[in-house]
Amino acid sequence: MTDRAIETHDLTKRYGDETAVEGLELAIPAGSVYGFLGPNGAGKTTTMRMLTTLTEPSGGTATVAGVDVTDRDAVVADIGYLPEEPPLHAELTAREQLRYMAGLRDIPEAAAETRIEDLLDRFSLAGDADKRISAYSKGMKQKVGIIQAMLHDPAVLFLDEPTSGLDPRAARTVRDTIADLTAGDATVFLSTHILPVVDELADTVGVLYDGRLVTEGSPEHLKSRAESGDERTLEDVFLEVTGGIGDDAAAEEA
Amino acid sequence: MAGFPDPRHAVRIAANELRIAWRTLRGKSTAQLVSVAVVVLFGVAFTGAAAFGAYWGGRALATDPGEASSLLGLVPAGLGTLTLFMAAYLSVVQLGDIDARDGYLTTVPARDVVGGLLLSGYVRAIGLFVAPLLVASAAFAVGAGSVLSFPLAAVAVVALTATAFLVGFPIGSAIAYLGSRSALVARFKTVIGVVVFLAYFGLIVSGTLGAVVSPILDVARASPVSWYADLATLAVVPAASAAHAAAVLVGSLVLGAGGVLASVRLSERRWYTESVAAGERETDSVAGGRLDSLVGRRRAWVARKSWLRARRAPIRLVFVAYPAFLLVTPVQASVEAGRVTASLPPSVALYGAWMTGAAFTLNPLGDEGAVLPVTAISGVSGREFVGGLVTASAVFGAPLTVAVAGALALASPLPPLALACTVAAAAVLPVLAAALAAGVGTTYPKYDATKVSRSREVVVPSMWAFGVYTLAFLLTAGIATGVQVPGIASILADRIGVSAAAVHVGSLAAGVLLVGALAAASVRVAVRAFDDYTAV
Repeated sequence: MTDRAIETHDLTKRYGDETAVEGLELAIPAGSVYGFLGPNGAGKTTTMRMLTTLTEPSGGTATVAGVDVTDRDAVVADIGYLPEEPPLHAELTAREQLRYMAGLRDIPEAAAETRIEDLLDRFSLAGDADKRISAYSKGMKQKVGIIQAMLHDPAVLFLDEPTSGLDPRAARTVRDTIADLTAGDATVFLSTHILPVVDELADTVGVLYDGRLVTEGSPEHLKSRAESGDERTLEDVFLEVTGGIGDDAAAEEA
Repeated sequence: MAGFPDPRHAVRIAANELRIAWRTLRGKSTAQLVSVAVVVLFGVAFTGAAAFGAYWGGRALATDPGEASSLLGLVPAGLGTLTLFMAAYLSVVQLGDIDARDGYLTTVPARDVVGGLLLSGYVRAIGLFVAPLLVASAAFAVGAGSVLSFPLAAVAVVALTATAFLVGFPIGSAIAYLGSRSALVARFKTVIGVVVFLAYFGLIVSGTLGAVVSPILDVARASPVSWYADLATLAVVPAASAAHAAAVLVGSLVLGAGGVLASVRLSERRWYTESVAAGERETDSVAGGRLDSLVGRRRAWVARKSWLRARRAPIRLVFVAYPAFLLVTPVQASVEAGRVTASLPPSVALYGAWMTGAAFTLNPLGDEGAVLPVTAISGVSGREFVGGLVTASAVFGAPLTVAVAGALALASPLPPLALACTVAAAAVLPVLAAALAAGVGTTYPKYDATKVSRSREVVVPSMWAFGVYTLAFLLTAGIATGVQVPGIASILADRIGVSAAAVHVGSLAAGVLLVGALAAASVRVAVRAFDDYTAV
């Protein structure tokens, strides 16, 4: 693995005449948390899908864990992915689902059992692990999705709104888990609208607006650049950089 | 091997798919399980028939190999063709894709997922008739008096069906991929589906399906496909060629491997290429219109909402086409006679009315889905809600039924009075059917979505609603239309000693009164159910 966990150059995705992501430049160091922000429809999910090999870029290049995203087989071996809707089989129990995915990841049975029990316990799911997923709440499904994504200790973990639907205690567990992961070598690419999560965890924050990366830096750096108010928050930065572009665009159109 | 699925992953994925399918089956309602039991009974009957035929086929071959073997090539030709078409079709609609696809594709290579789909697809779809055929292989060996014939026939069955499946699957994937890339296909998907269904239906009712399939079977029979028969009968028929038997085994391996590679390539194209979205027409809107002044604003909005949802997702209404198979007999009779027979117009009037009732009012509460609580507190009364749905059904169904049944009646030998009664029934029954369906639908609602394809779930009426409505409607409205057929009318007239004219008019009146009484009671039930929901 290189010292850059994720690297993109001029990464672009077009759907017909519409540009979802344009000229994205990222250089994310290994072992860091990258907070990926942006309003709805900004292109965050499209970016994640390109980096996880689910969508082919229209232009530019991208590497994940040092592997070009065009080499799908090599990339998927190194990543974990939690999409917005956790990819689970409602007909299975959580334990069955996790054992199944561990099997597909070729994790030795004994090691998988230990890891699954440990994570179920950590996410307070051990007591419900033998119930069908169809009976789970949104938050419980989200927990299973997170465990599934990190089951194999991936080098790069892509999380799309990981704390969505979680109660405060579970959200805290997710935040602690992400912090633990990055204490090792893992890199977390975190897309969320919950700014305090990014503020607490991210080493670097990138804001995507209308398919373009409009600002990037550490949370502290970005907050120091915010122009409004004395109590500068990440929310101020977010509103400034996304609203500002909108105003500029409107002015240009006028 | 490079490019091929990892067998361990493929087997694991297939086993999981089968486990999910089994659990889904076990989780079905009693009514659905009854229909599954009926399918199983058919399977048992098919197994019995296949075993019986194979036993006597084996005996005939052992007794007189020359004569019986002349028909042998037809068996693999038919089995191979059926398997190939089934595999292609099912690959398009269901077997070619997998739930939680993003999870799989970020876990294992896509080719492993395809391997799992191929294995589970073969077991789930083709296994349904391969299992009975393996029993038939044993019966064949017993009939032929040759123990060796069992493994040979079994290997021939499995090799042939597996090869045909592996050829058909990528064909289906290619069709699905091309369909997803065409804006035209995306926009007219439903129309294309209806045209294909009507063409298929037309071939069945006109009795020409055999004429279409026959050349395909002839080609298959003249091709090396027929050599599978050599493999199956190698121990019984002296003329069976060992070279042919060996050739089909090698051919199966080569074609099967090619099919796997093609399936992987095409599935990757299908999964990693964005689908083209169907463009929305500007006219697709729920705008006000004349209907407001005719039935009232709220009823009109309920009706227009139903039409718009049906136009955007016509698959919701696909179930109304199922009973069209009841028209097979009268349509077939008309095709054979070369003219519209007397039984066709009343049958069409009855079906058209049934379809009208089933379209928008057979699951009033369930159809609303997550919007139901909002609809219930929106201020719309039960009368307005049910009235709107009945309007939605009647406004499109009644004119359509009158037009089709009327045109057929004019072209038929129906006497003027029967013709008039048929047209009257076609005009009145659709409205009454919609009202009848509303009460049945609210009594037996269904809120859960049913999977109609791998990626599509829709809320359709419950089986109880479907059954009770169909039975109640046919038993009442059937009197109004069934007796319009002159032959039936004259028999009835003779029996009860009145004129045929009195029978025509009387049966229409009786049928309309009966279904009308049920419809009136039914509407009250539906209105109360909606108002009670509001009260809760």
